[in-house]
Amino acid sequence: MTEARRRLVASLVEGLHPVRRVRLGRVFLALLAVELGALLAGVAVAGMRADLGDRLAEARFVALAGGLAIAAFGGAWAALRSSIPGREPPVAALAFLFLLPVAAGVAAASFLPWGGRWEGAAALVGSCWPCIANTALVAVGPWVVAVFLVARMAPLRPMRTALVAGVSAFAVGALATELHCGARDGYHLAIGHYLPVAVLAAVAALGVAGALRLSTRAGKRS
Amino acid sequence: MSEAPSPLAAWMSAAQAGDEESYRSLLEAVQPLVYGYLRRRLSSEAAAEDVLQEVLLTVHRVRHTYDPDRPFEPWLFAIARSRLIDHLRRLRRISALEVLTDTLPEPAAASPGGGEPGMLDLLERLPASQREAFSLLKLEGLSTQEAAERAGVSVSALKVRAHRAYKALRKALAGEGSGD
Repeated sequence: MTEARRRLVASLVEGLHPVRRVRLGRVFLALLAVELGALLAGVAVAGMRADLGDRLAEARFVALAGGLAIAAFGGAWAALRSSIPGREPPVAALAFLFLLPVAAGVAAASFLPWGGRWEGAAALVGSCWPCIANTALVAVGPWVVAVFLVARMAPLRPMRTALVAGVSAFAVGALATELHCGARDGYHLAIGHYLPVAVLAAVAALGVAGALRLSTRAGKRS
Repeated sequence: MSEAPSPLAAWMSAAQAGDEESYRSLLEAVQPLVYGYLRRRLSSEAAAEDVLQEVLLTVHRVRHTYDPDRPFEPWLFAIARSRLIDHLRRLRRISALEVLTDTLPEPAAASPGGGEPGMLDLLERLPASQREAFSLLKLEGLSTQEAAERAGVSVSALKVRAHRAYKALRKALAGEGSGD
Protein backbone atom coordinates (compact mmCIF):
# COMPACT_ATOMS: atom_id res chain seq x y z
CA MET A 1 0.00 0.00 0.00
CA THR A 2 1.36 3.42 -0.90
CA GLU A 3 1.88 6.06 1.73
CA ALA A 4 -0.82 8.26 0.18
CA ARG A 5 -3.30 5.41 0.25
CA ARG A 6 -2.41 4.55 3.84
CA ARG A 7 -3.08 8.15 4.82
CA LEU A 8 -6.36 8.16 2.91
CA VAL A 9 -7.55 4.98 4.66
CA ALA A 10 -6.55 6.42 8.01
CA SER A 11 -8.49 9.61 7.35
CA LEU A 12 -11.55 7.69 6.16
CA VAL A 13 -11.50 5.47 9.24
CA GLU A 14 -11.04 8.51 11.43
CA GLY A 15 -13.99 10.22 9.77
CA LEU A 16 -16.26 7.20 10.14
CA HIS A 17 -19.58 7.65 11.87
CA PRO A 18 -22.74 5.56 11.87
CA VAL A 19 -25.01 6.03 8.88
CA ARG A 20 -28.68 5.30 8.39
CA ARG A 21 -28.93 2.58 5.80
CA VAL A 22 -31.08 3.20 2.74
CA ARG A 23 -34.23 1.05 2.77
CA LEU A 24 -35.17 0.97 -0.87
CA GLY A 25 -38.68 -0.35 -0.26
CA ARG A 26 -39.49 2.39 2.22
CA VAL A 27 -38.04 5.11 0.02
CA PHE A 28 -40.12 3.82 -2.88
CA LEU A 29 -43.28 3.84 -0.78
CA ALA A 30 -42.54 7.42 0.29
CA LEU A 31 -42.08 8.52 -3.31
CA LEU A 32 -45.19 6.61 -4.35
CA ALA A 33 -47.17 8.39 -1.64
CA VAL A 34 -45.92 11.76 -2.88
CA GLU A 35 -46.81 10.89 -6.47
CA LEU A 36 -50.28 9.62 -5.58
CA GLY A 37 -50.82 12.70 -3.41
CA ALA A 38 -49.82 14.99 -6.27
CA LEU A 39 -52.04 13.06 -8.67
CA LEU A 40 -55.09 13.29 -6.42
CA ALA A 41 -54.42 16.93 -5.59
CA GLY A 42 -53.95 17.76 -9.26
CA VAL A 43 -57.25 16.13 -10.20
CA ALA A 44 -59.03 17.66 -7.21
CA VAL A 45 -57.86 21.19 -8.06
CA ALA A 46 -58.35 20.99 -11.83
CA GLY A 47 -61.48 18.83 -11.71
CA MET A 48 -62.25 15.36 -13.00
CA ARG A 49 -63.33 14.90 -16.60
CA ALA A 50 -67.06 14.27 -16.89
CA ASP A 51 -66.78 11.23 -19.15
CA LEU A 52 -64.26 9.29 -17.09
CA GLY A 53 -66.70 6.46 -16.33
CA ASP A 54 -67.40 5.91 -20.03
CA ARG A 55 -63.73 6.16 -20.97
CA LEU A 56 -62.68 3.61 -18.36
CA ALA A 57 -64.83 1.10 -20.17
CA GLU A 58 -62.73 1.59 -23.32
CA ALA A 59 -59.71 -0.66 -23.63
CA ARG A 60 -57.72 1.90 -25.63
CA PHE A 61 -58.20 4.61 -23.01
CA VAL A 62 -57.20 2.19 -20.28
CA ALA A 63 -54.16 1.14 -22.36
CA LEU A 64 -52.98 4.72 -22.95
CA ALA A 65 -53.60 5.86 -19.37
CA GLY A 66 -52.11 2.59 -18.15
CA GLY A 67 -48.97 3.35 -20.11
CA LEU A 68 -48.67 6.64 -18.26
CA ALA A 69 -49.24 4.89 -14.93
CA ILE A 70 -46.52 2.35 -15.71
CA ALA A 71 -44.14 5.16 -16.70
CA ALA A 72 -45.01 7.02 -13.49
CA PHE A 73 -44.71 4.28 -10.91
CA GLY A 74 -42.27 2.06 -12.78
CA GLY A 75 -40.14 5.13 -13.37
CA ALA A 76 -40.07 5.89 -9.66
CA TRP A 77 -38.86 2.38 -8.88
CA ALA A 78 -36.28 2.48 -11.67
CA ALA A 79 -34.95 5.89 -10.62
CA LEU A 80 -34.45 4.72 -7.06
CA ARG A 81 -32.80 1.47 -8.12
CA SER A 82 -30.54 3.45 -10.45
CA SER A 83 -29.24 5.20 -7.36
CA ILE A 84 -28.00 2.04 -5.66
CA PRO A 85 -24.63 0.78 -6.97
CA GLY A 86 -24.94 -2.67 -8.47
CA ARG A 87 -28.73 -2.58 -8.65
CA GLU A 88 -29.20 -0.38 -11.70
CA PRO A 89 -32.01 -1.62 -13.95
CA PRO A 90 -31.01 -2.72 -17.47
CA VAL A 91 -30.70 0.09 -20.01
CA ALA A 92 -33.48 -1.53 -22.03
CA ALA A 93 -35.88 -1.16 -19.11
CA LEU A 94 -35.01 2.52 -18.73
CA ALA A 95 -35.38 3.08 -22.46
CA PHE A 96 -38.76 1.33 -22.36
CA LEU A 97 -39.99 3.65 -19.61
CA PHE A 98 -38.77 6.71 -21.50
CA LEU A 99 -40.30 5.60 -24.77
CA LEU A 100 -43.63 4.51 -23.30
CA PRO A 101 -45.20 8.01 -23.29
CA VAL A 102 -43.63 8.70 -26.68
CA ALA A 103 -45.21 5.53 -28.04
CA ALA A 104 -48.54 6.51 -26.48
CA GLY A 105 -48.30 9.91 -28.18
CA VAL A 106 -47.42 8.42 -31.54
CA ALA A 107 -50.23 5.90 -31.20
CA ALA A 108 -52.75 8.60 -30.30
CA ALA A 109 -51.71 10.78 -33.23
CA SER A 110 -51.39 7.94 -35.72
CA PHE A 111 -54.55 6.02 -35.02
CA LEU A 112 -56.65 8.96 -33.80
CA PRO A 113 -58.68 6.59 -31.63
CA TRP A 114 -61.31 9.20 -30.85
CA GLY A 115 -60.94 11.20 -34.05
CA GLY A 116 -59.05 14.44 -34.62
CA ARG A 117 -58.14 16.94 -37.29
CA TRP A 118 -54.87 18.71 -38.00
CA GLU A 119 -55.47 22.45 -37.81
CA GLY A 120 -51.91 23.68 -37.88
CA ALA A 121 -49.08 23.63 -35.38
CA ALA A 122 -49.82 27.06 -33.86
CA ALA A 123 -53.45 26.25 -33.16
CA LEU A 124 -52.49 22.87 -31.77
CA VAL A 125 -49.83 24.21 -29.42
CA GLY A 126 -52.22 26.96 -28.33
CA SER A 127 -54.91 24.46 -27.44
CA CYS A 128 -52.42 22.09 -25.78
CA TRP A 129 -50.63 24.69 -23.71
CA PRO A 130 -52.97 24.55 -20.67
CA CYS A 131 -52.60 20.77 -20.53
CA ILE A 132 -48.79 20.96 -20.77
CA ALA A 133 -48.75 23.58 -18.01
CA ASN A 134 -51.04 21.43 -15.86
CA THR A 135 -48.75 18.44 -16.36
CA ALA A 136 -45.69 20.45 -15.38
CA LEU A 137 -47.42 21.97 -12.36
CA VAL A 138 -48.60 18.64 -10.95
CA ALA A 139 -45.15 17.13 -11.58
CA VAL A 140 -43.15 19.76 -9.68
CA GLY A 141 -43.66 18.16 -6.25
CA PRO A 142 -42.88 14.58 -7.27
CA TRP A 143 -39.92 15.79 -9.33
CA VAL A 144 -38.35 17.73 -6.47
CA VAL A 145 -38.89 14.86 -4.04
CA ALA A 146 -37.53 12.28 -6.50
CA VAL A 147 -34.40 14.33 -7.15
CA PHE A 148 -33.89 14.87 -3.43
CA LEU A 149 -34.24 11.15 -2.73
CA VAL A 150 -31.91 9.96 -5.48
CA ALA A 151 -29.35 12.64 -4.60
CA ARG A 152 -29.30 11.23 -1.05
CA MET A 153 -28.26 7.89 -2.49
CA ALA A 154 -25.55 7.21 -5.07
CA PRO A 155 -26.63 7.84 -8.65
CA LEU A 156 -23.50 6.69 -10.47
CA ARG A 157 -25.20 7.31 -13.84
CA PRO A 158 -26.77 10.70 -13.07
CA MET A 159 -28.16 11.42 -16.52
CA ARG A 160 -30.04 8.15 -16.75
CA THR A 161 -31.26 8.46 -13.19
CA ALA A 162 -32.43 12.04 -13.68
CA LEU A 163 -34.14 11.12 -16.93
CA VAL A 164 -36.12 8.26 -15.50
CA ALA A 165 -36.98 10.26 -12.37
CA GLY A 166 -38.30 12.95 -14.69
CA VAL A 167 -40.32 10.45 -16.69
CA SER A 168 -41.86 9.27 -13.45
CA ALA A 169 -42.77 12.76 -12.19
CA PHE A 170 -44.05 14.12 -15.49
CA ALA A 171 -46.02 10.94 -16.18
CA VAL A 172 -47.82 11.59 -12.89
CA GLY A 173 -48.56 15.08 -14.18
CA ALA A 174 -49.75 13.71 -17.52
CA LEU A 175 -51.96 11.20 -15.76
CA ALA A 176 -53.57 14.00 -13.78
CA THR A 177 -54.08 15.90 -17.04
CA GLU A 178 -55.54 12.80 -18.65
CA LEU A 179 -58.05 12.43 -15.81
CA HIS A 180 -58.97 16.12 -16.06
CA CYS A 181 -59.00 17.01 -19.75
CA GLY A 182 -61.86 15.52 -21.74
CA ALA A 183 -60.35 16.30 -25.15
CA ARG A 184 -60.60 13.38 -27.55
CA ASP A 185 -58.58 14.78 -30.43
CA GLY A 186 -55.69 12.44 -31.16
CA TYR A 187 -53.30 15.28 -31.95
CA HIS A 188 -54.20 17.04 -28.71
CA LEU A 189 -53.62 13.85 -26.75
CA ALA A 190 -50.23 13.35 -28.38
CA ILE A 191 -48.91 16.92 -28.09
CA GLY A 192 -50.72 17.99 -24.94
CA HIS A 193 -50.74 14.82 -22.85
CA TYR A 194 -48.16 12.20 -23.82
CA LEU A 195 -45.17 13.66 -25.62
CA PRO A 196 -44.53 16.39 -23.00
CA VAL A 197 -43.61 13.65 -20.54
CA ALA A 198 -40.50 12.71 -22.51
CA VAL A 199 -39.64 16.28 -23.53
CA LEU A 200 -40.01 17.77 -20.04
CA ALA A 201 -38.16 14.83 -18.50
CA ALA A 202 -35.23 15.32 -20.89
CA VAL A 203 -35.06 19.08 -20.25
CA ALA A 204 -35.29 18.62 -16.49
CA ALA A 205 -32.63 15.88 -16.56
CA LEU A 206 -30.20 18.16 -18.38
CA GLY A 207 -30.71 20.72 -15.65
CA VAL A 208 -30.12 18.44 -12.71
CA ALA A 209 -27.73 15.69 -13.86
CA GLY A 210 -24.68 17.79 -12.98
CA ALA A 211 -25.90 18.28 -9.43
CA LEU A 212 -26.57 14.56 -9.07
CA ARG A 213 -23.08 13.82 -10.34
CA LEU A 214 -21.64 15.99 -7.59
CA SER A 215 -23.68 14.16 -4.98
CA THR A 216 -21.39 11.12 -5.15
CA ARG A 217 -18.18 13.07 -5.60
CA ALA A 218 -18.18 16.00 -3.21
CA GLY A 219 -19.10 16.84 0.32
CA LYS A 220 -19.57 14.69 3.37
CA ARG A 221 -22.67 12.70 4.00
CA SER A 222 -24.32 12.00 7.30
CA MET B 1 -17.89 -28.54 1.61
CA SER B 2 -19.29 -25.01 1.26
CA GLU B 3 -17.03 -21.97 1.12
CA ALA B 4 -16.96 -19.57 4.04
CA PRO B 5 -18.99 -16.44 3.26
CA SER B 6 -17.05 -13.32 2.34
CA PRO B 7 -16.36 -11.21 5.42
CA LEU B 8 -16.63 -8.04 3.36
CA ALA B 9 -20.40 -7.77 3.76
CA ALA B 10 -20.16 -8.28 7.52
CA TRP B 11 -17.39 -5.68 7.79
CA MET B 12 -19.38 -3.17 5.78
CA SER B 13 -22.46 -3.80 7.87
CA ALA B 14 -20.44 -3.14 11.01
CA ALA B 15 -18.87 -0.07 9.41
CA GLN B 16 -22.33 1.32 8.72
CA ALA B 17 -22.89 1.09 12.46
CA GLY B 18 -19.65 2.98 13.09
CA ASP B 19 -17.20 0.13 13.84
CA GLU B 20 -13.79 1.56 12.91
CA GLU B 21 -11.86 -1.72 13.09
CA SER B 22 -14.24 -3.44 10.70
CA TYR B 23 -14.06 -0.48 8.40
CA ARG B 24 -10.27 -0.51 8.39
CA SER B 25 -10.30 -4.25 7.67
CA LEU B 26 -12.76 -3.69 4.85
CA LEU B 27 -10.80 -0.87 3.24
CA GLU B 28 -7.59 -2.87 3.41
CA ALA B 29 -9.23 -6.00 2.03
CA VAL B 30 -10.88 -4.31 -0.96
CA GLN B 31 -7.74 -2.51 -2.16
CA PRO B 32 -6.07 -5.49 -3.87
CA LEU B 33 -9.40 -6.50 -5.42
CA VAL B 34 -10.10 -3.08 -6.86
CA TYR B 35 -6.50 -2.36 -7.78
CA GLY B 36 -6.30 -5.64 -9.72
CA TYR B 37 -9.54 -4.79 -11.50
CA LEU B 38 -8.23 -1.36 -12.44
CA ARG B 39 -4.75 -2.52 -13.46
CA ARG B 40 -6.29 -4.95 -15.92
CA ARG B 41 -8.02 -1.97 -17.56
CA LEU B 42 -5.45 0.80 -17.20
CA SER B 43 -1.90 0.73 -18.47
CA SER B 44 -0.61 3.24 -15.93
CA GLU B 45 0.05 2.30 -12.32
CA ALA B 46 -0.35 5.92 -11.29
CA ALA B 47 -3.75 6.14 -12.97
CA ALA B 48 -4.89 2.92 -11.29
CA GLU B 49 -3.71 4.34 -7.99
CA ASP B 50 -5.64 7.56 -8.58
CA VAL B 51 -8.84 5.76 -9.51
CA LEU B 52 -8.48 3.38 -6.58
CA GLN B 53 -8.38 6.34 -4.22
CA GLU B 54 -11.47 7.79 -5.89
CA VAL B 55 -13.18 4.43 -5.39
CA LEU B 56 -12.29 4.39 -1.69
CA LEU B 57 -13.62 7.92 -1.29
CA THR B 58 -16.84 7.01 -3.06
CA VAL B 59 -17.26 3.87 -0.98
CA HIS B 60 -16.97 6.09 2.07
CA ARG B 61 -19.47 8.66 0.81
CA VAL B 62 -22.14 6.22 -0.34
CA ARG B 63 -21.67 3.48 2.25
CA HIS B 64 -25.24 4.02 3.46
CA THR B 65 -26.51 2.59 0.15
CA TYR B 66 -25.07 -0.87 0.76
CA ASP B 67 -27.64 -3.49 1.76
CA PRO B 68 -25.98 -6.18 3.94
CA ASP B 69 -28.54 -8.73 2.78
CA ARG B 70 -27.04 -8.56 -0.70
CA PRO B 71 -23.55 -9.53 -1.92
CA PHE B 72 -20.92 -6.86 -1.36
CA GLU B 73 -18.85 -7.32 -4.51
CA PRO B 74 -21.44 -6.15 -7.09
CA TRP B 75 -21.94 -2.98 -5.05
CA LEU B 76 -18.19 -2.38 -4.82
CA PHE B 77 -17.43 -3.10 -8.46
CA ALA B 78 -20.32 -0.97 -9.68
CA ILE B 79 -18.59 1.92 -7.94
CA ALA B 80 -15.19 0.92 -9.31
CA ARG B 81 -16.58 0.64 -12.83
CA SER B 82 -18.23 4.04 -12.57
CA ARG B 83 -15.06 5.74 -11.35
CA LEU B 84 -13.05 4.01 -14.06
CA ILE B 85 -15.44 5.33 -16.71
CA ASP B 86 -15.16 8.83 -15.24
CA HIS B 87 -11.38 8.57 -15.43
CA LEU B 88 -11.41 7.40 -19.04
CA ARG B 89 -13.74 10.26 -19.96
CA ARG B 90 -11.36 12.75 -18.33
CA LEU B 91 -8.49 11.25 -20.31
CA ARG B 92 -10.40 11.67 -23.54
CA ARG B 93 -11.13 15.31 -22.71
CA ILE B 94 -7.49 16.19 -22.13
CA SER B 95 -6.11 14.12 -25.00
CA ALA B 96 -6.76 16.98 -27.42
CA LEU B 97 -4.51 19.26 -25.37
CA GLU B 98 -1.77 16.66 -25.24
CA VAL B 99 -1.75 16.45 -29.03
CA LEU B 100 -1.36 20.22 -29.22
CA THR B 101 1.51 20.15 -26.76
CA ASP B 102 3.29 17.45 -28.71
CA THR B 103 3.09 19.41 -31.92
CA LEU B 104 4.21 22.71 -30.42
CA PRO B 105 7.93 22.48 -31.35
CA GLU B 106 7.20 22.34 -35.09
CA PRO B 107 5.83 25.86 -35.57
CA ALA B 108 8.37 27.19 -33.07
CA ALA B 109 11.27 25.71 -35.05
CA ALA B 110 9.78 26.94 -38.31
CA SER B 111 9.57 30.48 -37.05
CA PRO B 112 12.08 32.57 -39.04
CA GLY B 113 12.79 34.98 -36.28
CA GLY B 114 12.82 32.35 -33.59
CA GLY B 115 10.94 34.80 -31.44
CA GLU B 116 7.87 32.71 -30.65
CA PRO B 117 7.79 31.37 -27.12
CA GLY B 118 8.24 27.67 -26.51
CA MET B 119 6.43 25.49 -24.00
CA LEU B 120 8.70 26.52 -21.15
CA ASP B 121 8.03 30.18 -21.92
CA LEU B 122 4.32 29.53 -21.89
CA LEU B 123 4.66 27.72 -18.59
CA GLU B 124 6.59 30.65 -17.16
CA ARG B 125 3.67 32.92 -17.95
CA LEU B 126 1.30 30.87 -15.82
CA PRO B 127 0.63 31.85 -12.22
CA ALA B 128 2.96 29.95 -9.89
CA SER B 129 0.22 27.74 -8.45
CA GLN B 130 -0.96 26.62 -11.89
CA ARG B 131 2.60 26.10 -13.12
CA GLU B 132 3.33 23.94 -10.10
CA ALA B 133 0.21 21.84 -10.63
CA PHE B 134 1.03 21.31 -14.30
CA SER B 135 4.66 20.44 -13.60
CA LEU B 136 3.85 17.96 -10.85
CA LEU B 137 1.25 16.16 -12.91
CA LYS B 138 2.61 16.34 -16.41
CA LEU B 139 6.37 16.77 -16.09
CA GLU B 140 7.02 14.75 -12.95
CA GLY B 141 4.18 12.32 -13.62
CA LEU B 142 2.86 12.24 -10.06
CA SER B 143 -0.64 11.04 -9.25
CA THR B 144 -3.13 13.74 -8.28
CA GLN B 145 -2.98 12.60 -4.66
CA GLU B 146 0.82 12.77 -4.58
CA ALA B 147 0.87 16.09 -6.40
CA ALA B 148 -1.70 17.52 -4.00
CA GLU B 149 0.37 16.41 -1.05
CA ARG B 150 3.51 17.90 -2.58
CA ALA B 151 1.73 21.18 -3.24
CA GLY B 152 0.13 21.15 0.19
CA VAL B 153 -3.42 21.51 -1.13
CA SER B 154 -6.47 19.26 -1.44
CA VAL B 155 -6.84 16.98 -4.45
CA SER B 156 -9.81 19.06 -5.62
CA ALA B 157 -7.84 22.30 -5.40
CA LEU B 158 -4.96 20.76 -7.32
CA LYS B 159 -7.33 19.54 -10.03
CA VAL B 160 -8.79 23.02 -10.36
CA ARG B 161 -5.31 24.55 -10.70
CA ALA B 162 -4.28 21.97 -13.27
CA HIS B 163 -7.49 22.50 -15.21
CA ARG B 164 -6.88 26.25 -15.29
CA ALA B 165 -3.32 25.65 -16.42
CA TYR B 166 -4.50 23.40 -19.27
CA LYS B 167 -7.06 25.98 -20.27
CA ALA B 168 -4.54 28.82 -20.25
CA LEU B 169 -2.01 26.78 -22.23
CA ARG B 170 -4.60 25.72 -24.74
CA LYS B 171 -5.64 29.33 -25.21
CA ALA B 172 -2.02 30.44 -25.60
CA LEU B 173 -1.25 27.67 -28.08
CA ALA B 174 -4.38 28.37 -30.08
CA GLY B 175 -3.49 32.06 -30.19
CA GLU B 176 -0.04 31.32 -31.57
CA GLY B 177 -1.38 28.74 -33.96
CA SER B 178 -3.63 31.37 -35.52
CA GLY B 179 -0.54 33.36 -36.42
CA ASP B 180 -1.44 36.61 -34.68
